[in-house]
Amino acid sequence: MADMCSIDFTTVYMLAAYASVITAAVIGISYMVGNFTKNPKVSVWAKTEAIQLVVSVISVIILVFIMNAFCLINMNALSELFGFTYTGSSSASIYGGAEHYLEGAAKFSHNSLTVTRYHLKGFTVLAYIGMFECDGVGSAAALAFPFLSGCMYGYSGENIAPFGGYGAVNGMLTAMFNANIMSYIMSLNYLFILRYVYYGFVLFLLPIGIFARSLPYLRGFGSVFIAMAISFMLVYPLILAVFDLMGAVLINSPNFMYYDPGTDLRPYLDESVYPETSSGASFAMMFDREYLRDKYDLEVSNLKYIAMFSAHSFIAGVFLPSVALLGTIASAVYISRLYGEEIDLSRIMQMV
Amino acid sequence: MKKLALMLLLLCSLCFAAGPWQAYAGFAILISATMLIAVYIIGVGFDVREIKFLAKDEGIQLLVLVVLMIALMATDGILNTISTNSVFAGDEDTMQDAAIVSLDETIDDLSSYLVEVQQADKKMARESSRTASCVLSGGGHSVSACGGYSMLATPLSMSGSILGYSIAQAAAVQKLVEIAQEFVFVLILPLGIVLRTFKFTRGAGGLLIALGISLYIFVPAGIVFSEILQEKFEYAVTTDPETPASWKAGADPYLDPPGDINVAECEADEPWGNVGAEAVDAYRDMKHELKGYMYVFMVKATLGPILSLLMFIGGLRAMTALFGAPVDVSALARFF
Repeated sequence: MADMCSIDFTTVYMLAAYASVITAAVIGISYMVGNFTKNPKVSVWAKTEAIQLVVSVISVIILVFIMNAFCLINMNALSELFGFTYTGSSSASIYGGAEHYLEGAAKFSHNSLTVTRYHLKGFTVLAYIGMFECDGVGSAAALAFPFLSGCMYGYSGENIAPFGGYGAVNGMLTAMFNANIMSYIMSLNYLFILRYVYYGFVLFLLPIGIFARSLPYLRGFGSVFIAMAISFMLVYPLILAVFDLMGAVLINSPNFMYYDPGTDLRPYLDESVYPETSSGASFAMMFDREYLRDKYDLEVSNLKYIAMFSAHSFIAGVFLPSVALLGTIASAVYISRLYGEEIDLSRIMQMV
Repeated sequence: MKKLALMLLLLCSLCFAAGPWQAYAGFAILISATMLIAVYIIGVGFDVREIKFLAKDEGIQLLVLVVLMIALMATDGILNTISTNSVFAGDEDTMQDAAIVSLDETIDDLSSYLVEVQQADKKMARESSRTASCVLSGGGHSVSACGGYSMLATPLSMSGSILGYSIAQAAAVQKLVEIAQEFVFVLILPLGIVLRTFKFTRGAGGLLIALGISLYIFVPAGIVFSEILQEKFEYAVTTDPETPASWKAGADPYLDPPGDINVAECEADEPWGNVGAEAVDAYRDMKHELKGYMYVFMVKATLGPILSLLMFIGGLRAMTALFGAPVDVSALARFF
């Protein structure tokens, strides 16, 4: 992915300039018509709109100025200013930091998902293991006359699922798995929104906003566009960049793995192995339940850490980015009020 | 306007005397003040009432910010005083430490219960899966006399999910307290103040300040309050001489630490034996022991975190309004 700061937005700025010129022309013509027809309503309207146009143009200039400032601010230096060690790229800007946080949150959630999935699979496999225990195996009579055991000449004995009782564990792991999927998808969703913003969608709202703000009955409409552009280009990346400064604690950056001195969940990221067991079957498994247990049983002591890992990935991947988005939407409302018309974005809030 | 400018100049000396973030906040205020003065001059020069009004309005906001900054320097002390108050902190140094210790205990309790439930589930499933067979030359019979145990699989599975959620919930709140301890004073509040200085980032700044204070105070306070309530309740139903004996007897099963759920071995080939009674005994035992689990996962692990999150979200909503950019945070409440 290209760095947001290296993207050329000249087309957008040119469009904004064209929109300003066209709007100025419309206002100028209206002023002249007002004077020509001696209609004070039209000339006053033209004067008011001229001020609004200046406000719009100044807003765009300030936006571009702050965007450039965000590109110049180095996350590493900012981190040192607050006494932290930055774990991202040494040349990352505010925009790079925001992207780094969401990528990290997605990796962290995905690692949590992988560890949970591994255990869910392991315990499900165990739950479906079945064995047949023949009657009389090991008795003196069966040793002397094997045909007396339940395994010879027909069969008698008990079918049993020695590790069938993982319903509680699987219930817990399924709940965590669902939470992890949500964290992963939500962090990707927020990352997608960020990249969508970076690649210019929001800036294209600027020329429309400048033009619409100066048309009758469209001030609110234009204000929303400008407010959205400012909020999504400045506020959303900024809050995420702040979270990136906390990355070492929030998502254990740069490892993106749950850390606790009591456990090491890293082996479970390698999904090609089944860490507690050796490969291959054994004749002993046919008769010895304990052997079977040793061979396949998974440690339940990891469950606590899996739940905690899932909780942390939820905080990092869902809760905090949602706070960032809510802050952005609230900023859009605040800024649109500044431009003269308050907008109701409560419906969008409900989508979070 | 002149008075405001003079006040800001006086504040400038504080910027150099204070730590790095205070200095940056001071510079941010000065830059903002300079811009405001420029806007005001434009307003006066062109005699545009709206611009003059905007500059004045922003002047008031800047003044509020100066007050906020001074308040933050004092608040550092106030919040620490609340945090270290022995009523909230108990035996720990701070309220946040007390909350973390409480949540640690809850997580440990829940984890051991999860292992116990899992062990009971394991025994139960092994017994319920037993099927005795006797087949000779293609003819024979099979009988599953222990099937009665399978009725217990669903409640145990549900207990496992609830315990998992409870651990995750407690761990999530614990993480929020850790974030608050680590970052509120060194990052979130200072940055919030700097961002609140400028019009375009006022929403973000207000949100960060509100987030910082809510995380630092309300999240651990909810846990500590819940802990205090539990202690009061436990004292009332165990020790308080004024509590009727029948109440104490009724509360005992909930407060006693849960024991093992007994699952008797079953004979799969004896349908005429005491089959139903074995499963029913295990069910009765489980019903009794689950009351002990209930108290921990419903009261300690669910009520406590929910109380703290409600306080956090309520505080966040009120404080974002106080700091100038109200944020509808009801969406966050839906996550928990």
